[in-house]
Amino acid sequence: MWVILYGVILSISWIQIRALWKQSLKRDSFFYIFTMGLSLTILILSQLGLPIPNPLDGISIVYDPVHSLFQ
Amino acid sequence: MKKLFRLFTKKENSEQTEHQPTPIDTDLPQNLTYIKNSLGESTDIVIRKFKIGEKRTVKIAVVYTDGLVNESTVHESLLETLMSDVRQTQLSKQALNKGMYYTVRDHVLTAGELDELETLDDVLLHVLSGDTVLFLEGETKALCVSTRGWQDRGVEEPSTQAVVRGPKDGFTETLRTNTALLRRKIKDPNLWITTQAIGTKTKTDVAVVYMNGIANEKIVKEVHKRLNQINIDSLLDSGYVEELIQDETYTPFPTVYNSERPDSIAAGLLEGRVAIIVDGSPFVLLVPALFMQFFQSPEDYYQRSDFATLVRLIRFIAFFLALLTPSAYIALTTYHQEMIPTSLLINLSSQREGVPFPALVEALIMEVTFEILREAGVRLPKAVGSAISIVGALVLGQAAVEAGLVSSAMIIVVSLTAISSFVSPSFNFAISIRMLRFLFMILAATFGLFGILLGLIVLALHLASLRSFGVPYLSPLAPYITSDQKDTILRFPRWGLLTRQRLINQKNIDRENMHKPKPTSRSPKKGDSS
Amino acid sequence: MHGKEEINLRQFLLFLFLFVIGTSILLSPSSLANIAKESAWLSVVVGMMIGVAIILFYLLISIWYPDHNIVDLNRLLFGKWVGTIFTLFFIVFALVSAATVLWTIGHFMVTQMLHETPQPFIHILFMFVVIYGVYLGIETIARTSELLFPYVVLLLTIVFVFSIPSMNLNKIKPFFDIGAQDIVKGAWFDLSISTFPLMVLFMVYPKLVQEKKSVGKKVTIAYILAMLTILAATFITTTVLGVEYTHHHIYPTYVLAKTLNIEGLIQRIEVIIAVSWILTIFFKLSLYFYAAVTALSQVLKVNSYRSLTFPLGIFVIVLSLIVYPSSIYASEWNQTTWIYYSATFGVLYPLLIAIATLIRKLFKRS
Repeated sequence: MWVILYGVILSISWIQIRALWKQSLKRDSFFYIFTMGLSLTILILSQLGLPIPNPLDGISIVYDPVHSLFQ
Repeated sequence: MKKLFRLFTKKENSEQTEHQPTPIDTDLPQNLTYIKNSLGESTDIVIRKFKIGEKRTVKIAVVYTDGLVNESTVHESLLETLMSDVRQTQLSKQALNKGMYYTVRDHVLTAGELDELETLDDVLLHVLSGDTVLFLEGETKALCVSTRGWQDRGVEEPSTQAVVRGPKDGFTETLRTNTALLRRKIKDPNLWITTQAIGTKTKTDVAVVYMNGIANEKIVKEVHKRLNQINIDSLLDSGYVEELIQDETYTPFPTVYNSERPDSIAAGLLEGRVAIIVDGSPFVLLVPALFMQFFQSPEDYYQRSDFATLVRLIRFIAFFLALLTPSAYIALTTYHQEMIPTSLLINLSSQREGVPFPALVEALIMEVTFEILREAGVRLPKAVGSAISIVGALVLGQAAVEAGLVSSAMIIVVSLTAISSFVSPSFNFAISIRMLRFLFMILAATFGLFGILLGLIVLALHLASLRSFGVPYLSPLAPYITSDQKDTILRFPRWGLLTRQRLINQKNIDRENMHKPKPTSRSPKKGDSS
Repeated sequence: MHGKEEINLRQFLLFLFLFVIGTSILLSPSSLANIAKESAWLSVVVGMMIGVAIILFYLLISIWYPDHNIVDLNRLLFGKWVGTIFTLFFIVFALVSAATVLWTIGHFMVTQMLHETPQPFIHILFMFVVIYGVYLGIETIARTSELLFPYVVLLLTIVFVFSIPSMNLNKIKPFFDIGAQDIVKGAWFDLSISTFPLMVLFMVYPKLVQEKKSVGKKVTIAYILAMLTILAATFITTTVLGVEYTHHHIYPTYVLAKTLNIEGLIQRIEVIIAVSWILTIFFKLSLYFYAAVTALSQVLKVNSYRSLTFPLGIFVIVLSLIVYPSSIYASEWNQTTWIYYSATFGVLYPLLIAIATLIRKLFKRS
């Protein structure tokens, strides 16, 4: 199932990047590739079972003092 | 698509620059040879040469296409007048002095429509359109007389969109007949018709019809713009035009309405829509077409309003049944058994016990079988068709259940779907439901009701994104327009339909000024007598 | 940035309604029953009153800056660098909200309806629909909301009306037997889910709010109606199921619909709740996502937000797979961090804008 999914994602990306490139929107295609690359990297890493830092934990750390203040 | 267009236009332009129109020569035989050669000496072209004038000095030739002209017109008002009558009539000297050409033009030809042609290409076009062309020796102009009259089908009852009550005339393949049918319904000087020829080879006449003052000028302009952009060699049916002018190609839903019924088109014109009539097709196009229009039948306006509303609701329900019944069956039996009432579930599962396939395969087998039967039924000769499809469905269904291939509940589901898909008054709309049904079945098999619901959301998004000639496809539901709800799902009584649709028509909104009819009461009140 | 895309006031009000009831109709009753016990419904009432004030405050900011969305506003008030940092915080907020909402729908489907489907696939399918919607544009989403809104209302009404016979007021007795502190806490929790995130809505579409004069009244009415729906959900779940039972379930409204049985005629109508909930969630998620995508594309100065829609959508899917390791973590985080996190954007940030505006005006005068 995951293989099909990656196939779908990559083919959609390929079509869209090519369209962007043809319109010579280099900035758009750069950020497209960057965001997509970042997302896919995290996805693959999490599938390999590597621990991904949860952004919510970070937010929790910031707000912990506030929480204890209100308790 | 656009690239293709560009290719077309480029080619066309280069052709046009090379091809110079040939002028008519003073030498009569040379003209005739040119015509003969251009047409490859086709046998249906008739060329009649003779001499006219008091002393039979002027050579003349008449050219027409056999079968496209009205024979009696050509014989009586052309050949006869030219050959015999001219000699008997005494013409004033003044008329004769001007030359034979003018005599013939102004005094001899009794036809209503007369044209002067200057190039041989025009001559060819007119001859091939059914006109008769006269050549005179020594003239650089040819006279073209409208003698069009070919065998056509005549006005018959339309085979699609049948009504129980309402006019029974239908459009034919002849453009003139069709415009005449519309004129007969709307005797208003504001019914404007413009015609242009489209198709480099077929030169098909395409007429744009609208009510001046009611139709939105932007939409009329847009229609003309899109028609002018068409650059194609042939135009054999209005389906070609529909595909070339629609807003969105990649959608299962039609964004152009078509009808064989003059009353339906006339009603559309009076609502401010624009009709496109293509010569050679009894299906007249109407734009802009909205989603809700495909749930409405012309008959809704001829029946009582409460009944019409009810029928529209039934069509709406049938739309969802046709779309979702098989997928709901799959989803419920595969993922959500707990939602089926227990007794029904026991029945269902005992039926499905012997079936070796999962519900999706079972449903696909039956749905595909049904589609095949239906397609076969359409193509078969009429007499055999309906019998084959009914017998096929019954026998196949029965046998499939007995053989244990499908459950009998599945047969019910398929029949329900089939019947529901016939309810839609518009054939091309029913096609879109047929196609989408299979997508929903796959979604149901993979994600159950969740998949169906997401499919519906995507469908809603897609419909909301569509536009037909600039008008949102889902209006007046989305964007919601309160005043237009009177004639969308509901059909208000006629005295309630006071305004035209907002988005289609923006300036001439008031439709009529009519109050609820109050018949004079049978027993007049006492005060009335005074 | 938005090009020609515009939505009208009616569509905005529908967005507001759907946004408020989006997640809260299914999630709020449980947590409220936990915090405010028998007075859960009172918490919603208190929340509604505070919420009206907050909403009008947002509206005020929109009226002050009719031509500025959040990115322009940040740049105008806080300068290029600080403003961009604020915008990035806002984008993170929108993305995190979107991811948590997506996780919630996935969790709900897996635990309640599709027991055997892996949760990631539900996230992916749902997000693909959202991506498609955002790709088609906000006008399309607005029209879709107009099309689907009647069904949401109809379905919810059916559930509410049919649960009236099973209501038992004794279950929420004694009334008012809880400290004001807990009620306010409950109200705050409710606001953090339903009202504070509305900042996103107001900040992305400020333009349309200047359309008509009675906009304040209309927005308030729409908001109150939405909050009344939540109130009804809370009141009905607690009176039908009881306080204990309500807070033991994550999705009490769904359970409520499951238990309904009217004379054997109407039963097992939980699918109705599921359908209406998925519809509202879809709009909430789309609006969060649209806000994130448009803000990000404006910061990055790309040609069109559409070019970033698909990759950012995949990013939201990835984020949704890692944000909540479990439902316990989710409810814990919602009650300890989310209430402050959303308050930062829902209360603190607008206050900051107001103060900055005042300072600017003072400077201009002197």
